[in-house]
Amino acid sequence: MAPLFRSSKQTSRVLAALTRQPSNWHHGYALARETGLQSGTLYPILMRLEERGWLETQWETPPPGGRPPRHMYRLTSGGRASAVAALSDAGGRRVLKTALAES
Amino acid sequence: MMRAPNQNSIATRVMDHAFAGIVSIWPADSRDWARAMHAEFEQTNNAGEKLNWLLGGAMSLTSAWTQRLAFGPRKTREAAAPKPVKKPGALAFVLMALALASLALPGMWQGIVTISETWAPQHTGISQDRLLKMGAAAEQEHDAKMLAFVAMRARSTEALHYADAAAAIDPATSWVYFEIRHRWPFQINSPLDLSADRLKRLQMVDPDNAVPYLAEAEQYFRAYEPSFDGAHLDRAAQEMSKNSAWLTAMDRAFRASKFDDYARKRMELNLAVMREHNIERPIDLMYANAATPIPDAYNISVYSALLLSEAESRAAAGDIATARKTYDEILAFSQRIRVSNEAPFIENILALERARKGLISEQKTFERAGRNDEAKMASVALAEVEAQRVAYRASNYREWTEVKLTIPSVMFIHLSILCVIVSCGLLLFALVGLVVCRRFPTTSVNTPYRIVRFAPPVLAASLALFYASYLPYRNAFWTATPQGVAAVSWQFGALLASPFSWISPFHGYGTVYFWTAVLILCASMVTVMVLRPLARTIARRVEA
Repeated sequence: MAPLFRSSKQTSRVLAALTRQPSNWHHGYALARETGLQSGTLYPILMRLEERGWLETQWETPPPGGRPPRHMYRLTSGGRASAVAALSDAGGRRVLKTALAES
Repeated sequence: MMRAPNQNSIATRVMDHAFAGIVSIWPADSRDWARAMHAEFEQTNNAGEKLNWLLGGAMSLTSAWTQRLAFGPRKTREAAAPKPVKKPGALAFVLMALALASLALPGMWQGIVTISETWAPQHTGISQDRLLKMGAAAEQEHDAKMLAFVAMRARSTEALHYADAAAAIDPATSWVYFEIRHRWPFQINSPLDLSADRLKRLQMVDPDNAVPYLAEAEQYFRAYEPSFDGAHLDRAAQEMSKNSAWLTAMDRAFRASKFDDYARKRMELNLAVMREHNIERPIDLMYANAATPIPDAYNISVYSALLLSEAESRAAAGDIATARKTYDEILAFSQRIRVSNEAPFIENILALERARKGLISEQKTFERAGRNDEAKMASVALAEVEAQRVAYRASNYREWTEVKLTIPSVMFIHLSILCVIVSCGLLLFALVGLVVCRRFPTTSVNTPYRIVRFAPPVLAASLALFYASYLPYRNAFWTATPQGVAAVSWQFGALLASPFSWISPFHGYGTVYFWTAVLILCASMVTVMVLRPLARTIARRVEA
């Protein structure tokens, strides 16, 4: 498992969307709609996750006629664990921030 | 999965193309992500979403390049996505067929040949082999016009033979002797020197014309002074005055009632033969007009100098009447040149110069004799001649200026033909590419298919533009009259000099070199475009 890292709010949203149905393949546009992120934010996040080994990717097969094949994403097994940890950590920091703001 | 509506709107297509451009300039090590983003572009719902997706792609492109430059290439984890194969549709083949069919349009082939001739560093005209075949056929058919046409273009050894054949069938074509002897470049002691027999034949057919007598006189003059270049005119005049045959011929020339250098006859014959036999070679016609054979100007100058010298001697001896007659003879000869049909620029300038010198001498003679009224008349006539000289030079310049107005149309002609050549080259490369793809099945067939999709429309459009631009030239060629050939020649001359005539002052072949450089550049770009995917495929196979 890759070491924990501080995930941004946007990364947390992506991880949250991926962990909701971890065994399903997700398309980029669907992830963008679910997370509310623009493509210019979403895809660098996906690229970083893939670099860290949290994400596996696949092209649509067979390639459909008339349009280019779509790219699909899902968390790896190690990625799932890291994502849960990262989300927990992010959740913990939000609680701490909220607590500090209220005090 | 929701499909975005209106996928074929112009805005969508423009954005799609823009995204394709982003993919093409994405760093190669992470380009799959760009393709992934592009594939999702189709899923977006409306123009706003599409634009956001496109802008996101542009931002990601910046981020990818920043990462690439800062941290080096990414490791790819899977093979590149298979690209969809887009085969050319029926439209490409229909356009290809139309492009080929357009070659049968009247004037299309003439235009292509004409432009290719303007790109050649040297004008070669109709080939000698073809001329000999035409000559042989004309001899069988007793076609005097065709024989004269061939004689004017054949090499020395054959030219006289065909001229003799033409004159034997139709003595009225004897003028062709003058043409072939005086064609450019004029050579001293040429194998085309006319025999006494041929000269006599020419003079008998055209006894009132000065030019056949000038042709005879030239042969005596050049035999005496082959390399005369205009210096020491008076000395040459004195020496030639001892040659009675020359004097007789020049006297007959100056007394002849007309001056006809056969320019009109030549153009009439050229036009008639070209139209009758479908010889669609406007550049050949243009050169035939430009290379106007004219009588030897130095020969005329030497005789004029002799006459002036005699007139001045007569005047000095008090015989003003004889002096005046001699001046009138010079002026009359000059006028006959200027009123002759289609006298070319050089002949007109020569005539005006002779008139000018004659009038200067006449004015001085009358002034010395104290005949002031006649001196004044001579000075008035001199002023008119001077004004005509200036005006004539200016009008010649104006013709050239008017030609420059055709330069925009000439640019379309040259550029459209360049596009035709590039399209044909691309199609040839595509054919080679398809053969390679069959041989190496893993090679991407997209590049050849892309060429086959786009090259036929470009080819068809270029041919259409070329035809539309060239058509006025084709019509000018077919409707030119003998007196209008000069104007038509200027038009076709523009095809040679334009659109890069600024190169010509630096080098006569500047236009040719420019277009050659452009063609080499285009060919290099096409070669790189076609060979790059092949090289990548071979490199991948080697790595594997």
